[in-house]
Amino acid sequence: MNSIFSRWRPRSPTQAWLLLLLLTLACLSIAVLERGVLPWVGWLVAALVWLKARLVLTYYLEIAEATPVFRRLAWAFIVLTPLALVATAWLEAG
Amino acid sequence: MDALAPTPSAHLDDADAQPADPRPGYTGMWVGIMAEFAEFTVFFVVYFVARWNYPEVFRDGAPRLWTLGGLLITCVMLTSGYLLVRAVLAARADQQRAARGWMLGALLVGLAYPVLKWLEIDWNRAHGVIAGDSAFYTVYYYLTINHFMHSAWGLLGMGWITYRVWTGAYGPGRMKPLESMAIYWHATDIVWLMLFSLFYAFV
Repeated sequence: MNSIFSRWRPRSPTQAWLLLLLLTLACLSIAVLERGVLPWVGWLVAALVWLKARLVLTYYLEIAEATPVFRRLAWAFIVLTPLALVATAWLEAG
Repeated sequence: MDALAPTPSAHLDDADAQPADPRPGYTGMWVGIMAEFAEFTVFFVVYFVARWNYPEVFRDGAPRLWTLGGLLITCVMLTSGYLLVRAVLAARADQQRAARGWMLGALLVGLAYPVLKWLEIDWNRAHGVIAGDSAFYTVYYYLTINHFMHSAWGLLGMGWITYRVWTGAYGPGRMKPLESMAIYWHATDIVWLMLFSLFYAFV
């Protein structure tokens, strides 16, 4: 599994930027096409936003070079909203 | 033997060559962006509490927003952030001409955000998206205008840093102000990605 992720990991900030634009288009397309119909759309949007924020943290913000306390807080911040989105999609589907 | 002993000036030169803190940006800027993250965490709690109380209002409100505007603002934030990354990398490599080009590009692309915001508010007025009309619109305006204010400060900083890049102020061993500016902009970028998912993508 790790080798799959490392194989598909962007090799440069340019690749990360292109991937971010692609994920943004994918996120919006899914949301517009499936507007409020299926609960898994919310989970998919949550996964995509987490992935995009992770790319920005890694390739733009150089979070690996930050002091550990700032690194942990930043990682925690990008998890909170996606988790709340997953919970909301689940609650509204039920 | 005396000739090999380090002189006070040689010692100072060594100290200049090795920055005291090799981490990107000022610690103060990292504290600042953590405060920004904490502030927006509270705003996101407000969003979810409002959404859990008025789910229908949020479902009806989101499709009325200017989706293309949200998409364009996202592209502007991501692209200006990318150009900033390139400016930082160029300055670190002491490629001054390239750094000037990337930095100017980042500023110009970033300046599209206020233009898009103005168009979005104009569009909202024409389509009845008025603050105070519903819980969704109130939360939407409060969070997005707040983000715009943070970005406006970032653009002011970017303007100053662009001027400094053009004077050749940054290079190896003197990167902190440019890196700090970039860190601030990328943090604002991450906050926008969250807002985009909450208002435009998650219905």
